[in-house]
Amino acid sequence: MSAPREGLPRLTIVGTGPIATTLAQVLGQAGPVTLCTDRPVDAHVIPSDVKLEHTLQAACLGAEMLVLAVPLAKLRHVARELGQYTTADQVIIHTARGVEPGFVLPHAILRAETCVRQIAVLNGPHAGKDLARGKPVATILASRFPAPFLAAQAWLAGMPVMLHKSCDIIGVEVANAFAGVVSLAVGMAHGLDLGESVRGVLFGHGLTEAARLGCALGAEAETFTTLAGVSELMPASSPLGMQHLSRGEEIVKVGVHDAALSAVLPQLQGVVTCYEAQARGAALGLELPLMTAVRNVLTGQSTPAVALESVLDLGLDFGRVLARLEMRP
Amino acid sequence: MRREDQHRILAGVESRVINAVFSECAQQQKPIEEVLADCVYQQRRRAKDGRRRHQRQSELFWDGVQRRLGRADDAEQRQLLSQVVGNYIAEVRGNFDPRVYKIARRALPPLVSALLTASSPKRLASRAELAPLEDSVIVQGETEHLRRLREVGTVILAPTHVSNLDSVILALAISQLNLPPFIYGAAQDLFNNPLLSFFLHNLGAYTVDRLNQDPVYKRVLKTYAMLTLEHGYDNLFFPGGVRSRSGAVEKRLKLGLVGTSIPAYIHNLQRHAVRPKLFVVPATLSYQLVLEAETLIDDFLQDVGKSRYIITDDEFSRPRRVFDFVSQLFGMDSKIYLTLSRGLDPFGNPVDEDGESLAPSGKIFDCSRHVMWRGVVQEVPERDREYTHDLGDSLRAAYSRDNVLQATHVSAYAIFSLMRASQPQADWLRLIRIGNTTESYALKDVYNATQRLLQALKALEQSGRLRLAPVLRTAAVEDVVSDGLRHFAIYHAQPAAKRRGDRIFPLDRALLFYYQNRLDGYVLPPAQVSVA
Repeated sequence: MSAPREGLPRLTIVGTGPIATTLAQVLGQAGPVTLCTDRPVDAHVIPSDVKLEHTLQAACLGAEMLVLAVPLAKLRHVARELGQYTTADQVIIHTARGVEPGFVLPHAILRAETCVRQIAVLNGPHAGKDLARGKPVATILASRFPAPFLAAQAWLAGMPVMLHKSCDIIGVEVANAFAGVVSLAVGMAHGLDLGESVRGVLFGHGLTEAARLGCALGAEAETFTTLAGVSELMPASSPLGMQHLSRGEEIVKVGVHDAALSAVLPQLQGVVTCYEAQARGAALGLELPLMTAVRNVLTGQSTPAVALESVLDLGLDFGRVLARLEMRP
Repeated sequence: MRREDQHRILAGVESRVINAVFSECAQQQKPIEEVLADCVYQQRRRAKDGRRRHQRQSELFWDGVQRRLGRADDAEQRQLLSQVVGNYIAEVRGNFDPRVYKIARRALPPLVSALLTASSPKRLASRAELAPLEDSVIVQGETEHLRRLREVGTVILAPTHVSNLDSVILALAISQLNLPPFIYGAAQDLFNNPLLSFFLHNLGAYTVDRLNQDPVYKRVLKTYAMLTLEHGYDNLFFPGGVRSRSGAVEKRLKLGLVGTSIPAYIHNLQRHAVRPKLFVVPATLSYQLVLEAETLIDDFLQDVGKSRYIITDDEFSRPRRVFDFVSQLFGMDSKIYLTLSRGLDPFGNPVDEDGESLAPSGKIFDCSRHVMWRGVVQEVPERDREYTHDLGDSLRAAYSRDNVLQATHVSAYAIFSLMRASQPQADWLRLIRIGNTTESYALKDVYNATQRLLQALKALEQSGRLRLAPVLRTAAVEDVVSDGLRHFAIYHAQPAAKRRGDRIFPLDRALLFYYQNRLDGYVLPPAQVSVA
């Protein structure tokens, strides 16, 4: 590692997956990084000067910036334990996608479990491999507060990372969550051999419905027309995106009642998001036809073909959604 | 306020505001002349919007500023700015005279008590025993917590705003709790009455001119409030800004003054003040009837009830109406509830008995670190704005939780929900304006709707989401409806609803809408209209 840059916020990364190790590998070149992991890490992947910790208490102590690179399913557990040790001046950046029952967004989980307010979501077109290879990467950091962005900027200075800032953490997290559902739907469309134009229509519906629900929850409408919304919702070649796509195809091939498939579907964050978004939308009096269609497939109430046909027949009204939102007091 | 503090505060306001204006002008590369020209423009606009006290002197002052501005060089512009700021300070500043306070404290409670308990002047003169004030104004909730927080730091009381009577009720409640007076901003039109002006001015009130949109004026106001907090004076702000037009508990809050708690706290920390802590205590007011309800809901419905429209001539400005209102209301043994919520730190975190901030886990944490980076306390406007936003969320949650529902609210909601159920296609505005095909409702339908509503409300109270007036927990549904209808009959020009035989007739749909709005925001069952 070259000489660490002056004044970098003291950074701890929590996680064991590819995002955590890639971040440790890349950021470890800029300054001293602590990686908190609960399992052994391949020494070839992590630079030797990355400090390893195995308890959250040790990881939290002295850290000014915490990056939680853990899946949503683990986020609350990690946050609850971290909450015993965090201080109010720390910054937390998470990379979780999805929602908890009740349509609870990741930043709300962190708010509920820690005293930290300066919370951000780091997302964008996932290109961990590109990042590791030093190729240019675009990513979005969304937070209501300036500190996470300044901290991330400090760490990423000089790297080929285009960091886009958004103040709309709700909008970005909703877009992230809906991405899984859109990928499921597109996977079903692939399984039905419906062609590429259908992919675009499904994406359009996903964008409209994400905007509709997101804005009802306090997001900014324009988030869904910018990089944060559009790029997040496009079915991605990230591992998570590919997982949803392939499950969607499997649903068409073997049906939701297949024993093996039905065992894994509930763990998919896109499935959880679908159920929760549909329920939350219904409670708010919102029409979310794509969510309803995918939910009907997942519950066995409809076949993929019938469900998608009902959505594809609908007109896209994104412009009207935006116009109505702009007229709100 | 101690005299030496007053001098320091006023001097502090002047220097901080002038420095802030200069700093802003330097950052934005804006000439001071432009700021002054904007001040003059805003005051000309202000003069058209309505009369204010000392109008003539004000006009002369601004004429002078405008005249001199045209030929002023840099040094003269700075001097003009200093005079403008000084003029605003003179307008805003309050005073506190302990002698006046003693008189008010002794005289006011029995006077108001007499009114509240419908005593006649003859009875008052004969010194007959008057019912104690505590019987009519119920101060409940976290009273001890408020007392304790005052010992630990400086408190901002942040009540909901229903009526212009709120100030009187709050003053009485503070006195009842044996707390020293709070400094508060009183609307300028209240100072138009010379007697009221004398008491307000000498009891710690400072003037808030809601029609004055000049940014320099607003900065003076906020800085004044901030400095009083830094000097340890408790303050009272209405985060709603104006009285609720719709009758609902405030959801849109104006956090400008309440938000001064964060910079005040930061300054306290930076100068290592002995008692740096500041607390915000939400308070929720509930009346069976509201003095100005007709005017307020009319304003709301005409869609004129925006913040730029300030009502100065309503029921409160007519003393006879006020007297009739309070004497009739409390002649019926009606109650006003002031519910104090658990105190918060300036960032919206709950605090314990000793004023220590609590994390969601219940663990105590050091809230000063919210405004630190690497151990240094810093003011960061973009960050602090978000903290104030969070404080607003906490205030809203407290108001909703500690909102006390009474018979008028419940009866109004039950009747209005029957109106909705009998015409499901019509939105609420149409229902109010035009009504519906059903002119009256069977008493049994109203009882059934009220019964279902009470069941839902009791469940919500059990889970801590709201409060019910004690009588609503135990009274028979017939008595609840009867109590609501009795109240509707006593004061407003037309009752909101009336019983004739075994049917209920909605007579003033706007008023029904106003009172039922107190339940806005809670998830409640829909009403069912009988087929017959």
